[in-house]
Amino acid sequence: MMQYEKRLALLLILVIVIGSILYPVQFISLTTFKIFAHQVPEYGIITLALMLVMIASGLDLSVVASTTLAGIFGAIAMSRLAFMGNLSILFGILVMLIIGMTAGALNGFIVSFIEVPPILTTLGTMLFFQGIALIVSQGGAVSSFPEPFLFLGNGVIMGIPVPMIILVILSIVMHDVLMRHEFGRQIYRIGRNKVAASYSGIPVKKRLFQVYVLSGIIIGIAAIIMSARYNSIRVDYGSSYLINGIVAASLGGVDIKGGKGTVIGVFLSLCILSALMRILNLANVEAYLSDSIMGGILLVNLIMQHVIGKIKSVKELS
Amino acid sequence: MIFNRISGVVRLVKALFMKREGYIVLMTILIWIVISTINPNFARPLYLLDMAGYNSVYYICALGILPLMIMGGIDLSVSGMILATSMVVTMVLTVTDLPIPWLLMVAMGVGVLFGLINGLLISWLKVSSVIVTLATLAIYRGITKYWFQQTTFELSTGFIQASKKIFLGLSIQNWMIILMMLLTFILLRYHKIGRSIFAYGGNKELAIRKGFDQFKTTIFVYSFSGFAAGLSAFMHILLLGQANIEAYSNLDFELIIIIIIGGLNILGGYGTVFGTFFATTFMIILKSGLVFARIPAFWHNLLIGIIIVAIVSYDMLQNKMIIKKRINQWEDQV
Repeated sequence: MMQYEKRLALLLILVIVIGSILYPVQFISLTTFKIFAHQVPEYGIITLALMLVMIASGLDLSVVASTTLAGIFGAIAMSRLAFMGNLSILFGILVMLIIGMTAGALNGFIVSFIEVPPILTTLGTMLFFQGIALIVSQGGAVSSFPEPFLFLGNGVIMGIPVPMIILVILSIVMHDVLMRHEFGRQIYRIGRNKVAASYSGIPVKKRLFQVYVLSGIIIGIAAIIMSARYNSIRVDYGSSYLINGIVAASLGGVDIKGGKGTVIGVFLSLCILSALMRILNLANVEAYLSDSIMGGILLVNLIMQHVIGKIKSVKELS
Repeated sequence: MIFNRISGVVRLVKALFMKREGYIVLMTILIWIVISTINPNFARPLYLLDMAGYNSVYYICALGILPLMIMGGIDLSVSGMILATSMVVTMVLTVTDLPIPWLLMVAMGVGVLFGLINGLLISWLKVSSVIVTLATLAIYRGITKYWFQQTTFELSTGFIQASKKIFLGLSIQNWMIILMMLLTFILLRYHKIGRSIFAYGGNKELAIRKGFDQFKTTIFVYSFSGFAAGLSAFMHILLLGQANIEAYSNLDFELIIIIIIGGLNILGGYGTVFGTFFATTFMIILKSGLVFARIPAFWHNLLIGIIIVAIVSYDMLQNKMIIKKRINQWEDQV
């Protein structure tokens, strides 16, 4: 299992070497790290939420929609409770987490208990969440939050931005849950084979529901960071994170069929993508082309995995 | 005699409702009546024809991805293929002044090529069609955006005049929809490949044992979707006189919704041209009708989201009921 992560680490080193050969001064600098630490956390957390669902053989197209939905509800709660001073922040955060959780629970209920295919469920709920967010916010931005709240998005502790710290802590916790806990192992088993999992005594429906709720809570955290970073939240924020998230998860070794993928892999793939983007940025590649490059990376990765798999099976045969 | 006729009609209506697409026909008529009473302008049949022509891209693409979704796949790259094809077409136009029929051939050919890439990748790599088409969507869309940012493009007047020709009371767009419907219907119903598509949608193992060629079928359905995208790109350029990059940003998801509302069995193996046609009409009426009925645009997404979740959930629950019933019957027999 760790084979793939080793390969990813090699790829990361390769990218860094290429970058430092091409742009020795700009690439190996504090700016690169700063850009990395500012750009990655938001969609990194969304990718983690996506990964959790994908391991259990699901897919969540509504991640970004539910993130903005949670953000908008929390933001409105904060502005309504502004008279409470800094206590309103606590309520805002709570509302974001609860809305994220509710969104996840709705997805989870439909996927696990009614057994609708996840891609269709989340396609519908994506539009549904977007609709609610649009009606509540009337299409505009909800902005200006209390000063201490912004610290969660822009603050720096010992030179490291707070969102990065949150991402790292979240990754460690998730790694622990997935690798050492019974819950995590059961998720992998469900992802690999649902029928076999249910015969071996795992409450499949309940676990699936829990997975979606858990990913909803993570989405709530992403909503907190997103709204704190921009000091405002709007429906169309982060619309590119869905494709980027799926690319990052897929490159990180998460299989859409389920049962595969680790937090380490996803973290490495986030680093690789960020480094690549930095190199492209330094090379003055048009921003529009970055979408294409993301898609290209995804395809090349799929082809590579296929070819390596073929070579391996040939070796085993001989 | 009269009684016989009435009971015949009743039987017909009943038969319609036993089918999956029955309710969408009823819903379409219902929503049309409701919106027409709120705003009488909507009731004119000519307006409906115009609207269908203006939304021909939806009809053509929905019919294009129907075979693929019957087979159990998903194509998220349709909008990307439309954009990329219109890019190629405009490139050709800037170089030479091709007559329109030739241009149509170019558009369809390029579309098929893009679809072929999807199909080859999916059947070669054996990964989920969601991932592959998401990747190609990003690639096509990025390149096209980059290209159109560099150049602007204007159509010649002859081209625009051609789009307004009317033949037997219907515009070119309407005729294209009808032709596409016929083509899809014949392919699914009477051609060998249609049997193969339904077989793979119903039960993959059985289809392989029956000797249907999986590679050929996969390649065909994705090429067909590309063909539809190419045709729509041409229609799109005809309609607008230019290629608009932002036009179809949500098209892919909407197409899937249309197909599902049109009675596709989400477990595969069932779906009809008839249902798809009415579902597209329903979506178009819903979208423009909400504007006509003066319901704020904010509510569109919410309503469509609720409708799709409700329909799919109902479908699944019904499937479960049927299976339960069968098990009960079987137990009774034993």
